[in-house]
Amino acid sequence: MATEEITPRTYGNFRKPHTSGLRGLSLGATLLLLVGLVAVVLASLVSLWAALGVAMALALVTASLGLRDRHDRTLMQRGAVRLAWRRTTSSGGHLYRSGPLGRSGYGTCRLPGLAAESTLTEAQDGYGRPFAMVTIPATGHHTVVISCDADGSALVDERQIDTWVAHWGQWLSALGAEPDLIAASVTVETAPDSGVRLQQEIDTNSVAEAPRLATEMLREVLSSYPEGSAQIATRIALTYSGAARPGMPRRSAEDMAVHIGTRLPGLTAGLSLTSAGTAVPMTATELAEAVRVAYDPTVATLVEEARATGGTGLTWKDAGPMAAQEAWDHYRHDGAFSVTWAMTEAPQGEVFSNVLTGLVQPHRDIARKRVTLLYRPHTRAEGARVVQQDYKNALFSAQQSQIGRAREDAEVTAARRTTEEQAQGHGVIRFGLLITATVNAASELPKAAAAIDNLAPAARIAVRPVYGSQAAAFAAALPLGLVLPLHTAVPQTVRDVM
Amino acid sequence: MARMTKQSRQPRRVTPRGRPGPGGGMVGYVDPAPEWRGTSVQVCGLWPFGAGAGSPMVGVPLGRDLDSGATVCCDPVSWFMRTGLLANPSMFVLGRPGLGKSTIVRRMALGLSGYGVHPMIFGDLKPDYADLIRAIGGQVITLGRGRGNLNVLDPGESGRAATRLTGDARHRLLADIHGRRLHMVSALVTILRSAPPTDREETILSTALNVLDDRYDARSGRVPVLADLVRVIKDAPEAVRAVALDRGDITRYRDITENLEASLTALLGDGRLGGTFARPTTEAMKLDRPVCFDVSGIDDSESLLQAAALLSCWSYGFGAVSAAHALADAGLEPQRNYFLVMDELWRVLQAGRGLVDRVNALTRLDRQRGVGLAMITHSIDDLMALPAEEDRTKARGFVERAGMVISAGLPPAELPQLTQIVELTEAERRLLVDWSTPPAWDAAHGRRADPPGLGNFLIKVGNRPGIPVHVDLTAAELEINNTNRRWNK
Repeated sequence: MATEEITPRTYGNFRKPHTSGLRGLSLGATLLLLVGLVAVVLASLVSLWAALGVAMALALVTASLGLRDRHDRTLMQRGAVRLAWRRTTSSGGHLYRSGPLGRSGYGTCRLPGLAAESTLTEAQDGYGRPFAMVTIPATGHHTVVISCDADGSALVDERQIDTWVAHWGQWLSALGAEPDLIAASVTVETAPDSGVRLQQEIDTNSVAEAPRLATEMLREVLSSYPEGSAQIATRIALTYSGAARPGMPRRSAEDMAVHIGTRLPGLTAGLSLTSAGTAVPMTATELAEAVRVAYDPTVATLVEEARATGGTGLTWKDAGPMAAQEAWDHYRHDGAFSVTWAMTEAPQGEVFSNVLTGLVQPHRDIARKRVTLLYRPHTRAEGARVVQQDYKNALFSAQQSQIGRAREDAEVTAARRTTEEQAQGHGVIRFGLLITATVNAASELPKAAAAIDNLAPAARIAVRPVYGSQAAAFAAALPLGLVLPLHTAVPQTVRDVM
Repeated sequence: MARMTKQSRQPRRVTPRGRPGPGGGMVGYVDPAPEWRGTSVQVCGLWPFGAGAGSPMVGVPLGRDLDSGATVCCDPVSWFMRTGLLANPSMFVLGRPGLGKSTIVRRMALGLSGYGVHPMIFGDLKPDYADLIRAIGGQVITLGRGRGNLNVLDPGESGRAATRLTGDARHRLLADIHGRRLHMVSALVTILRSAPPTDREETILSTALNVLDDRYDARSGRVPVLADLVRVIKDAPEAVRAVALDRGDITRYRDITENLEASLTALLGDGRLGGTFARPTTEAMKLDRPVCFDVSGIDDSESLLQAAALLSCWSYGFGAVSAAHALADAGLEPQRNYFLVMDELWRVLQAGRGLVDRVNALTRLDRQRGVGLAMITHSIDDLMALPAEEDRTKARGFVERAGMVISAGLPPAELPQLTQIVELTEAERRLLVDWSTPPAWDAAHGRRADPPGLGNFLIKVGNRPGIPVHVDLTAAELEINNTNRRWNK
């Protein structure tokens, strides 16, 4: 669109999906309160003490559901994490030992935790490109990972960026119409440059009769340039569900591979205008290498060297860590320490499209960083329903208070705008964000945490470490297609109303 | 290490949450990231592709990306041959004096010599490159009054190559030699008169050169000089008289050729161009090693002589390179790659009307493969200041046709001109202007401070986003060139 407007485009109006009940309580808490009050009345028929007891219990439960900390987490949630963490540590589940002496079975180094059952197959897409597919049997999820090569926005005109962002929006919108697609994630990983690529370039091109001066210069460049520079890898994971649904029996990995293979060419072509660069599906070996390096950054250089000289031959069985140990606030895997944060508040108000740029760019204080945006698109029908529901909820909240408060009015306006946008054919999408910082020593963790604490406000988001669930969050931030909301013990529908 | 326990070491069945038991890494609690909701037109604003993955790691390492700190590798030969990013292996370098234009070209030349590509510096006025070429074992040919001569009629390597070839290839090469000579003599006349020769004069020259070739066969061993050409015109052979249209009247012939003869005679002796191009070549150029034509002996006040010297070097050099191609195609010589440098382009273009065409003709190569070309000039204004409109348009074509444009800092006044030719974004324009900031007065140390933009360049390929790079010199390079000492911080 070539409009002559100078005002930069802004984005915003992100809402936390929640059901509304009385006075800011969620719908679940409200229902519980009503049922509880009935119980209190009934109990008072038996004895006053019983009624008091029930009332006390009710007050406690309601408080634990109604009181939220600044990250919008209820006391109930926090208590549940504490309890589960205690159980995990006492059963030794926070430890992972694999390999010949480990517990992962048959001397392999499989992935720990949620991805333990995962398998990796390779198929060919419509263009004949090989692609890897990660299958997680428990949920029937099949994930394909596309590797991209982003251009970056450093020296680009605002208008060009707006075009890219608009196309990115279109691509996200199209995900909602993608058959069987349940989630997508974009992982931007920054890692120190090992210098292997430069070494390869120099070694393969240098000639034997090169002048001494040129050889000296190239040698010096090789020793000094890579230091302090970073590599950026962008990967997009698309998760399809092969689980049974009405009118469609459960599908095998082979069927899903055919299905995904036919969808891939269109999806990669659609990415070309979003500045994601050349989008190519990752092969099984590439994906295994990427995961292996994520769990053990010390082998990054070896992997790159092997890749340049005939391939690593890594398989899914060796992609996991040799040992991992989960702590309350960090995760230790092989030779590195990681902390994973989750976004607890999306940018409020209006933001520009470069809001995340600072966050995804390489940072001096963090050796390796992964920023993962997790998307779960709604289908068209669902989208229409949820935005309509949001609008009704906003109206309901606004009518509850006698004096029309500005905040509620704004909510109504925002919800209305969302319904309009949805009606114009744009998709509705849920998104979360995870940040993983990986450092080489435990002593560097505070520095990394400080860096993230600086980066997050600049990106207009609030983050908190995923306490007590670091291992799962670490795996979710990898391009493995783990859709955490579908792996929880409490079904999502219940969690939504709480 | 798992502890030895009394229970069986058989691993238990894997569950969807991992393997149960101590050391099994089973996930206890899954805490999904909080989710937010929005429409895709809003959610796309959280755009994750703001950090660029960097440029291809192909070519000579130049320095670090100013944004990401990643190593930037770039040179026209490698990028053309191995990335497919460039339409042709040429680059245009421009920027204010003193910001290190020649430094980036020197780095490419040095790196390419390490990659087996021979740098050829066709005309070095400073000298910027002579030390480097000497250090990598190349040949430095000095030209200038009383220093060394380059006979413009000397086909050099091409002549020898033509004798080794047969058939079509030979005919092509001979035609090429003839064309180059004609263009070169015409260009010299243009520089001398500040106006191009008439078409009739060009026809006379062309025929005279043919007659000259018949007189001095390549096997005779003696290469004709300009004086011989003048003698041919004076002798008025039948062929020349025919094209001069003298209607059989010798006095008419003399009238027609008078101006041409005068111009050519001026080239011979101690005229304005000082005979540098009229005497036999003092040192022949070799094709199997780096070469630098050092014309720094010519004083800056003699701008015409400088232009003529540069042009002759280009003609001679490009002729030699196309001869090398012809030999390689015939399988008589190994295929060699060259990196040709044409410095101070504007000096030549401004020396006379119509010279843009001559430069085009003289620097034309049948095959671009394996020959990188670097054209260097101060600014686009130099090109846009040409008096004739058609020259300006053609000069602009130089930049437009270049596979990539590398720009150092430029003053704000020049950006409008540049943006007509190269698509620059607002951010890139700002960057270039910032880099042209003058250095501060360093009163405390009484020495010259470095300009802020020293060593910073923007690499533009087509309308792709530019790559801002800072060239970091290595100790090995700092030793060979005094002008680099300033970079020593």
